Amino acid sequence: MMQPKRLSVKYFVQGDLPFPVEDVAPIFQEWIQQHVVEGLLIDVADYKHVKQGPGIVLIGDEGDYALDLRQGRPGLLYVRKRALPDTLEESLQLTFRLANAAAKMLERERALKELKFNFDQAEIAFLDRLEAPNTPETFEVLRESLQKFATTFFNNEAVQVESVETDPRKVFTVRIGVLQEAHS
Amino acid sequence: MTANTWKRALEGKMPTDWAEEIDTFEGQISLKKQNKLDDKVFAETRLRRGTYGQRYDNGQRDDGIQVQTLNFPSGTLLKGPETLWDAPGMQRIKVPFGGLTTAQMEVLAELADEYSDGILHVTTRQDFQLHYIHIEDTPDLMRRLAAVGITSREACGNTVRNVTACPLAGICRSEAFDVTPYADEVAKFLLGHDDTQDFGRKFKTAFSGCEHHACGLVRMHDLGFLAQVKEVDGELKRGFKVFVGGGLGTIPYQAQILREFATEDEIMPLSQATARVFARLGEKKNRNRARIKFLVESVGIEEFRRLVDEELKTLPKDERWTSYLENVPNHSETPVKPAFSLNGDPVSAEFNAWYETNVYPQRQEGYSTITVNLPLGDLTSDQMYGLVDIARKYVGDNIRTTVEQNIVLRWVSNHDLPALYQELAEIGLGESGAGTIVDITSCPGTDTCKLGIASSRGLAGELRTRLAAKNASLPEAVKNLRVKVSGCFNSCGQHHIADIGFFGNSRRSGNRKVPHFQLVLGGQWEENGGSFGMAIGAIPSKRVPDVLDMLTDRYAHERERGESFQSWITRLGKQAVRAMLEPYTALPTFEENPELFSDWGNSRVYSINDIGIGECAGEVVSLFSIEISQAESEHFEALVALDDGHFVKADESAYRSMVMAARALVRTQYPNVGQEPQRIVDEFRTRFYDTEIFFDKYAKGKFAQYFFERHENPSDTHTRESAYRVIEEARLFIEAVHECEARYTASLGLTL
Repeated sequence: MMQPKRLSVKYFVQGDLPFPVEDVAPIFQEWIQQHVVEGLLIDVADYKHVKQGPGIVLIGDEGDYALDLRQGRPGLLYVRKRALPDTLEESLQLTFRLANAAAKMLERERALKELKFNFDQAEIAFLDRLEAPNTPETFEVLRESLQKFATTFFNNEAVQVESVETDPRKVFTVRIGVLQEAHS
Repeated sequence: MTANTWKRALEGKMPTDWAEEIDTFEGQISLKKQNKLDDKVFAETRLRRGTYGQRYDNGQRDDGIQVQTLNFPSGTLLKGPETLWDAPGMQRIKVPFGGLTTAQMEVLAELADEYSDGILHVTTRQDFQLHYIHIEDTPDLMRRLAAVGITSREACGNTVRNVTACPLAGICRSEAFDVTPYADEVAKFLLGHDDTQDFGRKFKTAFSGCEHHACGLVRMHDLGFLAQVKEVDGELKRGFKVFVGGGLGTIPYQAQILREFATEDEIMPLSQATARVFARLGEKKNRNRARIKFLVESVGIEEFRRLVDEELKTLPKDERWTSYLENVPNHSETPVKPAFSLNGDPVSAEFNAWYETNVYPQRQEGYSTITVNLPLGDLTSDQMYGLVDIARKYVGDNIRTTVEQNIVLRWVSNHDLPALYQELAEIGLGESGAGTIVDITSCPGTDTCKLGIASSRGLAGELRTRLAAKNASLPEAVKNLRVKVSGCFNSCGQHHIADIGFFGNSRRSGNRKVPHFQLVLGGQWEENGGSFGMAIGAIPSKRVPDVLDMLTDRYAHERERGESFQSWITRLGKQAVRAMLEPYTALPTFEENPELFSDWGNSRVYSINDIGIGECAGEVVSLFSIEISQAESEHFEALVALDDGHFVKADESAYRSMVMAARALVRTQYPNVGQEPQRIVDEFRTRFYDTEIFFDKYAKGKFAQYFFERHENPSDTHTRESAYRVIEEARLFIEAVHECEARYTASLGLTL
């Protein structure tokens, strides 16, 4: 089974409100001071000057947390860089758990009072072109595992798994989530 | 089924020698993990592969409240002295003359995705840097680069660094000839050459095509080649005016002329002989005096020329010196599209603004080179893929990075400019203002650099945002100014050659530190970095935007017709400029204005030395503060004397300012030291130098040596250059005294 060296999960912000990205860097600095999220936290990288970039990144050792602005869709991104478990399923569980916890922590931040994430859907990127090239074959190999993981994670039989990045140069990326009809 | 390692996947696709070098490096990583390699040896080994340490890699970080220990999983395993194994590092990637292909750009984007944080950073020497890299990822990263013809070998360490060249070479309207093939071949020739492996410090080389533009900035390089065509024996020949011994760094040096004219077949042996002389006679122990500029200064340019000439006679002939020359006339770039002019269709106001600043009409009719203006030198991997698509459509592989941290696309058919602009704008790369006051250059500063004192990127980002908002209304004379920011005195942001430069430092208010930037005015970007600016005064970081507004407003209103910024500053005189700054320099207490005690882009309370908060909070002005301010005044007198052409007086005042600063420090321990310089020097040496209390973590005792040297060996001859140097050295010594006093009082738990 494919096991990438790096894996990321992104929860998107709900709604179209302009996002106060400048308020996030001080929050991440506080997270370092108070060890708010799991992992060894090192520093905050500020890329708000870059259009549709990584936004504000809380750099860690095992993983980075970011208020990510790529694709023009703000979201909480957790990138697991190191110390991934042995199996893809465990890696997904770990990465989702940490992304989920960080997104909920951000929602509780007073300075971001209107911030809400859509927890019914997430994007997974396999940051390892050697192990998981962005091809239809990779999707076919992974589809069943991802479907199974999504069913368990969302506690719902009606889940959807779709490949979202067609450019073969880019990292293999899938979106998983609860089917809209099932959710409503 | 995929290959399970990059080594296997790329087998046969990398040059054999490069592949072997990377395998060796990977082996050295394994040995170091087993503690079978010395820390210093491994550090130099990885640096020679461009693999750097980053801020906090000693495992300590001040979070604004307390110093936290970063408990990395590999514990105390090191990758260099005081550099922890797991700490994120930086990978520098050399790009000779800035030349890139689209295939290389794609791989760079891949690496940013998989090993870094999705950001590619263009440096002030046409390199790329990726940050937050783990050492164990570097061999695969290097293999992937090698497979597209890029090596990071000798991107750092005491080696020949990236060979830079004017990004307009070959399409420039005023160049003598295209320097590209020469820069490319010299870079290849010197890479890994036996004669370039034993330097005491780094060695930077540059090529320029023209004398009067900024071009390749050859006057500030260790070795610089300026293209010229001259008649030799009745025949027009290509050659170069060759410069040696220039450099910015803490004290900038203008390069001197090694050869008035070296023919094209002479430049390789001349480079080799220069490298040999530097390796043999350059300083090795004291790294603060180890650049070639110090060797040239100490032996004198005439003796240096003689040494190089003697060395040339001993060199065994090497066919590589000339073998490439037969291909030089064939060097050319192929446009993707035929030349067509703009068709006169209506265009947007945004396009017009971009056209005005980002488009350079080539000497080849119907073509232009366009500048992709990168904020702070950064672009995302997605933007890089987008740029690749645009390049393939309009220009092919005719792409270069610039020392102003941008990327240029060459050979754009003028007809395509509106469409190309539109496509750049769609990927967030359509900003106008390239090469203007908005296009601010900055080194990494405290964001990632271990030496950073203040947030150069934070400041540059803030200035860029403010200036961009009012760019359209700025007067033309102001638009054309250049602003450059360094996070410390080392000048990686090239602040010495900006109209308005800044470098990071700090001051104490009460028992806290306040981030500051030293204002440097009057540098010259044109004429290949023709002259260096002078430090005028330190301004709290958060007030720098106001100071920039004040300076540019006054320049716009007070300048005489056609008067340059440098001329305006000279006409005003430093006293008047200094007086302009005074309203911005007074420091409040933390309680009065806590905003001033943090840096741009960083909400933490500013700290470098983990100063504790004492009981007597900061309104009391210490004796040290009074006396160091007197030293500052004396230093300013030196600046004024230099302006007035009184070089002896300038030298003496600069020296006196050092004595006064040393005395202020000595008196924190020994109030009765008196006024006699020798005694002050002795006491300073005994109490602060020999004990290493004065030593900064990175600069060690470097700045005290400036003081000792001037005290013990005053110069008999006084020129503008010699006085300038002593003034700059005094400035750095005074800054170091400030730092030392803060560290010292903090260590005692005192607030003075």
